Amino acid sequence: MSHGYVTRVHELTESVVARLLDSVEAARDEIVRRLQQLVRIPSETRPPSGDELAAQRYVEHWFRELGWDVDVFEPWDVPGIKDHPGWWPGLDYEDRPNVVARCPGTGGGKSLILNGHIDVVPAGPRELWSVDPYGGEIRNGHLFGRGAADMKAGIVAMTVALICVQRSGIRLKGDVTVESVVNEELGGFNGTLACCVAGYEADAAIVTEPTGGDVVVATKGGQAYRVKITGEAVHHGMWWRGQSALDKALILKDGLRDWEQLRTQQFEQGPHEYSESPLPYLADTVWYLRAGTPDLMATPADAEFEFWVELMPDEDREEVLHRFEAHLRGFANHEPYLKMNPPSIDRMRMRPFTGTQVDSDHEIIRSLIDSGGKVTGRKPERIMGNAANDAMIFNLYSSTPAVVYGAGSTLTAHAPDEQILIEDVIAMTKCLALTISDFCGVK
Amino acid sequence: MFDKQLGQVDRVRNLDAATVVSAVDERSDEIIDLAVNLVRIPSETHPPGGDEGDVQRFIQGVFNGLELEIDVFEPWAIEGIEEHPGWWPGLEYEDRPNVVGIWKGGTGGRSLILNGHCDVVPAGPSTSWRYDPYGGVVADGRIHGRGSADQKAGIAAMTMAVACLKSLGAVLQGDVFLESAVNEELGGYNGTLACIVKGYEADAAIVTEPTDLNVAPASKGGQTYRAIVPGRNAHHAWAWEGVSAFDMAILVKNALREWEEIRAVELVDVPLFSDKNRYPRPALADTIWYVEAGDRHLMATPASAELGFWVDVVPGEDREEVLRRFEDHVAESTSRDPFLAGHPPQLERALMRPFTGVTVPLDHPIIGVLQGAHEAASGTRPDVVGMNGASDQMMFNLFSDTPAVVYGPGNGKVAHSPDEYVEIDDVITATKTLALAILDFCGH
Repeated sequence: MSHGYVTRVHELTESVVARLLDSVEAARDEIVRRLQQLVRIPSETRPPSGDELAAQRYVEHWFRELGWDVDVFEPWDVPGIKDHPGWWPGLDYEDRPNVVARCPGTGGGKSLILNGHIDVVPAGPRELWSVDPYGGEIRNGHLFGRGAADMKAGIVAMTVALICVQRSGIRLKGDVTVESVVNEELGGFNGTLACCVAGYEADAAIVTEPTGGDVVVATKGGQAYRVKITGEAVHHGMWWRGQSALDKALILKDGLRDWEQLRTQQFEQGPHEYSESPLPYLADTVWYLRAGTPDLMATPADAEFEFWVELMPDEDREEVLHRFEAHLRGFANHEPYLKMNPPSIDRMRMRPFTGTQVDSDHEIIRSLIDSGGKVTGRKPERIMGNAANDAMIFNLYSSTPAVVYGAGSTLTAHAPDEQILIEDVIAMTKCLALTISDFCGVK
Repeated sequence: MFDKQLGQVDRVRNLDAATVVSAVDERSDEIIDLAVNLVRIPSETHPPGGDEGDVQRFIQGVFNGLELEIDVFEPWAIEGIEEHPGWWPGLEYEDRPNVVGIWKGGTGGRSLILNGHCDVVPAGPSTSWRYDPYGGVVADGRIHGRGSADQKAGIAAMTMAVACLKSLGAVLQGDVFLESAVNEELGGYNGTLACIVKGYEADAAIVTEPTDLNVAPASKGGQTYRAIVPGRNAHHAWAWEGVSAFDMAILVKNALREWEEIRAVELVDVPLFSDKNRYPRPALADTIWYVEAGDRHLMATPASAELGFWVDVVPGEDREEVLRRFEDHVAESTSRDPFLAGHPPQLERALMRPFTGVTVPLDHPIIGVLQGAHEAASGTRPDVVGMNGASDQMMFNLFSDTPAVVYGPGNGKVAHSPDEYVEIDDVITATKTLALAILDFCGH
């Protein structure tokens, strides 16, 4: 099985590796069937609540059939959680249970959590999809549907990987916990928090969100902002006598670009080690702008826009955001009208997103990379995650270091015609089976 | 050129300029009261209808008090008007009557129409106003309120000009028509059209919209546009994978700015709109009053942006030709961007009455008469300018044989905004000017 690349010495013998890979191969149809069934159960999150119940019942049933020890609980029922600093208030968890399975090891090995969220973002308008968003249709080796990539493939792969380890007759030394959580999408994260506060911990966690097969060892933080500007309306025939709030908004937008440049210069040695983005510190990310009103033909008297400012792992969140706000205000002050009529720059009310990272030499990372290399011939790379996910919760609020690893591309997530390549799901399952065995140790 | 037409005012028998001026001064409180009372009666236009009924009844009462012959009629009641090329369909005129007051004169002189619209644009939230928009508050030498400048002060001035002349016993050699029209604001103009189609015509008309007491023989036309600008969604964390329709909209805005520069060159000598102090740019296009890009609930690069803006056309131009060249320019300019080249912005002309630039020949006697009258009233010469916004002047100059110019108190800058006001001194001066102009133009 060796391919001639330099690697750390894997704990697994060649024969164990072969058994695991064969076991996953034999489970191919099962993987596809399970993924299709799970995608076909809609589980949309709709703040403040969500429809995860049916999909979680399916998972609970699956885990119980396997003889696993299953714990089912709603996040808000965990003692003390509402006072936890990581709890985001105001959400409704009726009929939204987490499902957690515990598989104790024989002892003396490292423990592992496998974590995935069962909820999905809304499918959006049906007419933008070329297939039924909840049909789980397979075309050209891709499985389509809302949640296919983000992230029911991950839930299926992590579960079947553990099943295959057990089927291969391997007895793991370390404990494995499998977490199917609610409420990750649209800024939730209380689901995984509840597992942490309930006491589930391990030597490492793998969050099986889609990463294109690489290992996300660091995730960015950030903050959403809303800026509001006032102008002075005059009749459009005398346009130049007014102060267009749109023109002022454009000045402030340039300030976002300026901040991005400043940040690039700040990190003299180049962007963060694992960053993949062409511009590593985004701020010019306006997703909404409005100026004026349709039926008043005058210079717009007001404007507002919303955007996201990124933070790197290990930055002092408050310090950077204060600097950003001061920078934008300073930028505005160069324009005489804005100096006299300063814009309001407000942080939008949401869970604070903090960047986190795991020691890049952590065992779990090396294990994933070596396993991935064995399965596909290409070693996964250490990368930075662009979007937030439950790894942040582990890394901020528990002693369990978490990385992210999963098949599938983020580009189709949250979009119409979300899909995943089935071969990638199989490869991911194999990689996880090897990683679990290697990390937890084989008796 | 204008000097030799500087009116006959000083040489008039018995009714010399000074007499008229002091008669107006003596009645200045009444003039203010009239303007204030007009402002206090809300008369908002709100397509398809409007609330002018009450203020028109008040004005009818005032005209009655001046013993004018009265004609009251709703625009849509005029026979054949709906087939008239100038009629804009789809509006409603129930309880929205025009009121015309006729001061019959003799023969041998010239006739004159004084026209004003009694409707106002909505005031908007009163929290934006320092004074109650319908309070007609008098403070700091001003009358405050929606319609004060645009244009109830003008109606008050034209009405009291007639009142003062009558009280001095003037007997004119031509007819004077006071037209209080409905439905000028928000692209109406059927009110004044109805006066025209009903048969009211004269040797000249003065539309008493706010010109800051300048004489405006010309006004621009133009077109409202709506543009839809495309983009491509990407999750904000992968912003570089998408194309922001906001960024694309900025490119469209740049194209509008470029067009203004092109026009500044080709219109460098255009009559009445070339004074850079008055018009930094002779023909506007970068006038975006509304834009919306993206979706608040989808944190992604905006896939679409919508803009509303106006493009100017000046008098004497072929409107269609200019608008086509403008649209071609936007297409060409935006096609320099690779994304917009493949996904061009869609420009749509809003469905509205076509606005054409109009002008009265600059040697028309009414211009000199107004200049002379204003100078006699105030001691200063008024400027002869182009008017920034459209008005009922266009209807006279397009659809009748009555050449119309614009002259009135108030500054267009405060029209349609919160805290609209008109300077009291300007209202008095306008009354004097209009009275002197009537005497001079009509003869007596």
